[in-house]
Amino acid sequence: MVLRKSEPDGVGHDVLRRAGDASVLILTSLAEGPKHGYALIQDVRRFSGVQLGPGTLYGALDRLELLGMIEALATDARRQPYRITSAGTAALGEHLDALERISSVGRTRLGFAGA
Amino acid sequence: MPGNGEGRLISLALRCYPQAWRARHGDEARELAALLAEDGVPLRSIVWNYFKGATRAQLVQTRMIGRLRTGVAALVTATSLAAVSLLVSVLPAPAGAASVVRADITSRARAAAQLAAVFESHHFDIGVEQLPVSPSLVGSILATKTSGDSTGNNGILGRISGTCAGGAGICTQGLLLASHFSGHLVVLVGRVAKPGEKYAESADVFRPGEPLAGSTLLGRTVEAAVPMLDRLHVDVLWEVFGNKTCTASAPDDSYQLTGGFAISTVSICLEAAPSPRAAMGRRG
Repeated sequence: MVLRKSEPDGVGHDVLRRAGDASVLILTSLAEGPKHGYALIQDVRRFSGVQLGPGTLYGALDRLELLGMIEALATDARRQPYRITSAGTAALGEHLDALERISSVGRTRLGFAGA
Repeated sequence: MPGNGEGRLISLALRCYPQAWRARHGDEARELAALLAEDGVPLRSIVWNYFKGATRAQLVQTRMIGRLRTGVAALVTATSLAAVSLLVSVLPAPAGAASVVRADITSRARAAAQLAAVFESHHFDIGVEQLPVSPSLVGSILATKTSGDSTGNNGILGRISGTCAGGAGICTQGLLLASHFSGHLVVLVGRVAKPGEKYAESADVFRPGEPLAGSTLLGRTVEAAVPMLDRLHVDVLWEVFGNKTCTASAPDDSYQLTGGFAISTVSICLEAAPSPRAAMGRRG
C-alpha cells in the first residue's frame, strides 16, 4: 500500500496548488497536444505572455514526468516531445477548478460579480 | 546562434547539471539555447536560468540530510527546491506507475511506522532505524545505508522532499523505490530526542523549529549575544572561525555569530567569526 498525504478539509484535491506556475503552464500547453521543449516555450509565451526559461522548463518537465503527469514520447530526433497523461489531465482540471473558485470569490469581493 | 564565447557559457552552465541529466537533455538544451537566442532572449538570461536549473537539479539529487549550517545554504536550498519539494510531497503516486513504490511520511510522529508499513506490504528487505535529531528534522529521512555486499541503493529511484518540521528548510519525506527492489537497506529516520540526549543529526540552530529560531542573535557580536544566550538556559559551546570543533572557550567579544547547531536538547554549538570590520582592521 502506498501512503498518501491527506489534504485539509475544504482544500480539495488540487495537487498542483503549490506546484509552481511553470508546471501548470506546461500542462496547459500539453493539454492541446504533444510538444517538445522549444514548442512549449513558444506556446506558453503565446497564451500566457510568460517567457519560460530553459532551465525552469527542464526542471518542471523532469518533475512532471517523475510524478506521472506527463510522459516522453519515443523519438529518434534530438527534440524530445512530451504528452500529458490522464493523471496530468485530472490534476490540471482540479487546479483550474480551484483557480476558478478563487477568481469567482475575488470578483465578487471586488464588486465585479456577474461581470 | 550564440557565438563561440556565448556557446562556451552555455556549455559551462550545462556542465553544472548532473551527468544523467546531460546525457538525456544536453544536446536538446544546447539547441534550445540557440533557438531562444535567435528569438532575441538575452544570452545572460538563458545562461542564468540554466545555472539556476543546474543548482536545483544537483540539490534534488543530493541527499538533503546534512546540517544546513549557514543562512546562505538554507536560502539557496529553500528557493531552489521549494517548488520541487512541495510538489513532490503532496502529489499522489503517478498513475499507472506500477513499477514505482512510493513511501511517504505523512505524520512526523509516525514516520518510522509509516515507512515500515509500506516496506512490509511490498515485502522489501528494508529496515527502519530511528535516530534522535534536532526538532526540525524529526519525522524526516536522514539517510539510507546498505549492509554487506548489498546493492540496495540501486533500488531508490528518488527521494521525496518536503518542508522540515517547523515549516522551513528541505527534508526528505519519502522514497520512490523500484517495485522489483530486492536489496537490503536501512532507512534512518529522525525521532524526538529524550531530554539531554545527544542528536545524531542536527539542523541550523536558527532554522524555524530549532532552538534559536526567531531570535535576533545571528550576526550579533559575542559580547551582545552572551547575555541573551544566558536567558535561554542551554549550555553553549563555540566553534570559532577556523576551528572545526566545539569547545567551551568563548571567542573574542568582537566576533560575530555566523551560525550554529544544536548538540542536544540542552546544548548548542554556535559558530563565531571575526566581524568584517575587525578583520579589516587587523589587516590594516
